[in-house]
Amino acid sequence: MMDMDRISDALQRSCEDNSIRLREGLGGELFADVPPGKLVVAVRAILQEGHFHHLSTISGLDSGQELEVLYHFWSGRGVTLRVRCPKSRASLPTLAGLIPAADWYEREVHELLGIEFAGHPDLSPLLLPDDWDAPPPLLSREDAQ
Amino acid sequence: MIVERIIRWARRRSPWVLHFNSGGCNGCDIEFLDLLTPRYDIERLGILKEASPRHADILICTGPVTRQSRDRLLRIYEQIPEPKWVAAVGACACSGGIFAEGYNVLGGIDRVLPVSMYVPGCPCRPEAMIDALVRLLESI
Amino acid sequence: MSRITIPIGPQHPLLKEPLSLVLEAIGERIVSASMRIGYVHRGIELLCQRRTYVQNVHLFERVCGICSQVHTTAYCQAVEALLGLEIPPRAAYIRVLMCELERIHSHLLWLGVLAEAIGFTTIFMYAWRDREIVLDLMEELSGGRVSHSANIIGGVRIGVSSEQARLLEGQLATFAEQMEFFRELLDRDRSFHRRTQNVGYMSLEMVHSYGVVGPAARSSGCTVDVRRAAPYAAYPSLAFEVISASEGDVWSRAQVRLMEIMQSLSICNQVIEALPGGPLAVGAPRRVPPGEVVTRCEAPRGELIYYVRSDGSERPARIKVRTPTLPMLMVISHLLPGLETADVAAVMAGADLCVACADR
Repeated sequence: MMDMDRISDALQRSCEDNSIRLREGLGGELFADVPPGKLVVAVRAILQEGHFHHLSTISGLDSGQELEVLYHFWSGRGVTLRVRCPKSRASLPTLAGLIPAADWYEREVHELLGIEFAGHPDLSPLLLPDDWDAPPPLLSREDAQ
Repeated sequence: MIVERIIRWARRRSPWVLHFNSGGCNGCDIEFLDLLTPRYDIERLGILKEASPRHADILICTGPVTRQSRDRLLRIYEQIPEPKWVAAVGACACSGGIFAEGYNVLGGIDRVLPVSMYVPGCPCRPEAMIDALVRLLESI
Repeated sequence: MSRITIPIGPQHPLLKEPLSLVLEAIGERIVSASMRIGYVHRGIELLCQRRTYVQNVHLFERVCGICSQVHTTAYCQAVEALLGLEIPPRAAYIRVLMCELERIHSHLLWLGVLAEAIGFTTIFMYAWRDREIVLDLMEELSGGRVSHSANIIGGVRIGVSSEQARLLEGQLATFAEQMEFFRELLDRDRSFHRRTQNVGYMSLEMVHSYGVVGPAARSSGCTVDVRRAAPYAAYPSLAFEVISASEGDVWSRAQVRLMEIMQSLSICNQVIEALPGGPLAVGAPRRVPPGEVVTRCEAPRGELIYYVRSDGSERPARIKVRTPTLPMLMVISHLLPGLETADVAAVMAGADLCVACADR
């Protein structure tokens, strides 16, 4: 079982201004809010110092005002990194170079919510048809209209 | 005509079926595969599962039609030689079922193809499929 | 020699479900493979936002027709965590019983599909014949062969009477004998060995980098099983072994699954033995307090993860499902290059794909 303090330390060190806070959620899952600019260093810290080599998946959601992307890591215990980005500038750095599994997960978040992943090798549709012309289906209704 | 009667007799005694899942959840598909296995064994009725549309008489469709599979479904149907019949197996194939309102779902099979037999059920039981196939053959 | 392109699917005798695989081959040797999925994408993650939590139990049961029980288990566990509900012990045991029966039927189904793909139709027929024993038991308990509607939020809908428990014990014993027969057959049969050994090798490194889970990962040396690493339902009080192997080929995937069936049988017997009395479910309110939760379950194909976000209403704000087949699909185009075209069938069928799960 991973030590909560150690993960917290690793995350703090990855981000000099100590802006990352780890909190325990339901079922023992750990959640941390990460600023978009710190995503890659935080993930590297999770992989190398936290010894989490399994990225379960990436979820995206539209919370009304902004978009959230959640990176679910697991190693007996789950750690979820949350990145928020404004709808007007929905772009994040890709993790595909760091974790091959992120490739398809990012494609899915891209097509369902319209988030760009800068540096991703191929953001073609994964689940949607090639000729999909409507707005991304999981964006809230008001935006879709 | 004696020749026509012989052809009709042959057709009813040995229909070849092709299965296509156009967007289903696997439930009906697995139950359809079950028909081939020892307990249900539809081969004893002369029904053979065929892999190529060009050899098939009956197209068994499971699942609703999704936007991606629509063209493929049409193409498979067009490749089947006349006369041909389509059976929509399961609630989704009949009407779109629980997925009818999905953004990627067009609806039941009859949105795309003419359907001769609707077999409801979620998932459809193998017995119901056998019954449907037998009734379909009786109607030929 | 010139390159030839071999399209497989979306409708192909090898595939039980639609996906499109494009192989490039030089002669008989595959040099590259690419894949397109999404043919059975139904948009479940949006549909669930328009339904209430109670209605969604039925929707998530229909993500997949093979592992329906584990989907509702993961979903109900997530909602129960948000509600702060503790399910009665009897319900936890019955959930495990249904999940393990489902695992047995899924593994046997896979064995049959693999055998058919390599041209061994006899095993396909035998495996599916014996799978009917398990389907009958599930029908006896729940009323459904494939979709069971066994789970509800707060517990389970179905009980196990003492007559049913005796029937289960008897049938599972018969079934265990049949499994010995399979094990011996697969151990000894030369043609099965030659079609599956050293075919479709997946290294532990690939498992880690693509996040492959479940029996496929465990046959490449990974030893993670959610039932052991983060036990849920009644698993903390049940004894079982986590099966793993290190060969990483199709043959070891078959061995791991066969051994897992034996473990599942033992779990089922323990559940019948120790089934606690008491209520089957506790009442659950319709509205779910705001919050978010991540739940993981061990589906027949590996780690299944649900993320549920509630905004305090009767309907979920967001549910994300990642099924174990998705990472397997990702890795498959890396397993195929270098193989001969005749081995593609063994690798594809041996991957235990459930496209309906992956596409949602």
